[in-house]
Amino acid sequence: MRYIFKFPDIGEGLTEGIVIEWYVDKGTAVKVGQPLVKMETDKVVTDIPSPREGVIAARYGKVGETVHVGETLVEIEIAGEAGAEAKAPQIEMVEETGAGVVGTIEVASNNAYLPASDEGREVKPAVEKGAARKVLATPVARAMARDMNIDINLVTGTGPAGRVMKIDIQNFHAPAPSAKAAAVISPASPAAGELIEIKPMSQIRKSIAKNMLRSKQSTAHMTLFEEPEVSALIAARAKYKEEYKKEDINLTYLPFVIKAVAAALKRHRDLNAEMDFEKGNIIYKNYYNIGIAVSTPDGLVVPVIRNADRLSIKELSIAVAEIAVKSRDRKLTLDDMKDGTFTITNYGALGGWYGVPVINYPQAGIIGIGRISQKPVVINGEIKVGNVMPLSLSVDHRLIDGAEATEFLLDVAAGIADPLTLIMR
Amino acid sequence: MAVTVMPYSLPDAGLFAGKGDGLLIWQPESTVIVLGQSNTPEKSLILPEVERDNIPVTKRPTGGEAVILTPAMAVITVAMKFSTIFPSKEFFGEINGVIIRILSDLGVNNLGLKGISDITIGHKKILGSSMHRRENRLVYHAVLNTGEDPDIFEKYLRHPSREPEYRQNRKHGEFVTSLEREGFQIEFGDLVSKLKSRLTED
Repeated sequence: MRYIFKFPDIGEGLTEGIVIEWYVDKGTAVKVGQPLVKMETDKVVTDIPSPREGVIAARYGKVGETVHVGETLVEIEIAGEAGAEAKAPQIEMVEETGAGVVGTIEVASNNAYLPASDEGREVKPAVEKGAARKVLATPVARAMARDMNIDINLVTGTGPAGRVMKIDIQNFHAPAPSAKAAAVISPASPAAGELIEIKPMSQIRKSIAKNMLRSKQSTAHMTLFEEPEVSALIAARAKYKEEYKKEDINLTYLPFVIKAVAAALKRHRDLNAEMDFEKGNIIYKNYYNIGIAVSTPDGLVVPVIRNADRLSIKELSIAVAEIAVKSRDRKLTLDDMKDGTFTITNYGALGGWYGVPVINYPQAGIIGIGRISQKPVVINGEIKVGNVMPLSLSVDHRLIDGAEATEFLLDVAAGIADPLTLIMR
Repeated sequence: MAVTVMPYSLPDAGLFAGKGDGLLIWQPESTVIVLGQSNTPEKSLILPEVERDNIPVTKRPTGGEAVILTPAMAVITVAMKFSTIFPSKEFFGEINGVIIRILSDLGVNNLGLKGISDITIGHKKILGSSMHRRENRLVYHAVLNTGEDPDIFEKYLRHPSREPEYRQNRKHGEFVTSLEREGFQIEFGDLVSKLKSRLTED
């Protein structure tokens, strides 16, 4: 019986290791626990012990080569069973869960930790037709295919037993999708090979994905909406815009919103806090660092304006401009983006109206600003044309009750509706 | 003149070669570069600088990337036998957790565990660790930067081929910090006595 032993996860959660030294050759008799090979992962150099007693029938990966978790390291001929070397069809069928395996072949689990003596499983002889085929390939070929975004299952191997070799990957040309498949997707689908494009995720995209998921999984999102009438804000901005321009400062609505949010946070400390659920604590912050969600070509980033409560509208305008320049020039550093206590996202600048913003975890809240638009409003019993700014506030309902969230949102809305209060209060 | 990689003969070499349990906390007497097991001087070091300053180079038996040891650092080496198989990350978490508790006791705050086996202050690394496992024995090896200027890494080490996600392509000087740079002054003797007592007890 042949035992296929695959490179196990040694517990770092990593996907690959480098062969440092082989202790066995083809034909070496091994016992359970005897070191087979010395492997190095990111932080660990470890001997991989044999899970079975037998004779090494084949080994894969040369010194210095990278082997991925789940790829075959050695094949062990278990003592007492016939067969010096697995025949080609047998090996192929081992890896592919294919049909028609005759006899018994054991395969170590793909995601095992370091092998225990009872590791491995038997391949069932009968397998559903059409099951995904996993071909035999050298570690180098597999890595190269991965790097070149080639589906190794489509490559015809020219090595022993049909094993896919490095040269097969280099010579591989992706087959055009069948006419039938293309027609199903779209009658006017693009040329073959352009139906999809696979790109590796950027680091920033990975971070966004991780943070968004963590926020949604770790908090109880609740969102409220409000529409302050902001004609006074428009007037204030119009009044000072030209004056600011002389100092080369572009006055937008955002600094007023930041000011209103910072002021409201001081009156509603729960919104400027975070929950340490494991320790059973609520951490209140006595500083007001406002994160501003910024869309960049690389993805979403949230640089922070520190101590926003202490800055004037003019200083906030300068800070917002600095953020914009740094974002555009890709010069934001981690220091620029850490220690935020609350976040503002301004999709109104892009023409958006309402949203349900995702909390920048572990913060307690985020407010979204929509575009100002004219709408009918009732003022002193009369319908007039008003200017409204849609606000969307998401809070962590574990920490913030509905009443507190409502009061905070109305507080922010009042500050935006009457900018004078931002200075006078 | 090519850089010669010397055999590993630093004070904890005996722990790597030995068979029993052991703990050694030590400060290097002079600057030395220590390569990880699969590193090469050509790929890991800025050779002209290393050669010009005549910095000795050796290679440790554990994995990970090249490090520089200087008298302003503390090296912690723990050798132990184990009877059960367990994930490496679990062990890193255990021992680095002990070190974090000790540093906290000594007044260091904002500490965290990041990557596979790093201890950080905020987003910056102050301790890196690696491991060697053979049969039922492992050797844990960690370097704590107590007071070295992180620019020294910039001078001698290339950007590593592998990096933890939280590094985010930062240069050595932006990625690494020291206790001293973060405003924490720690007596080496205090660190040693607490580590010894806690590691042997834990």
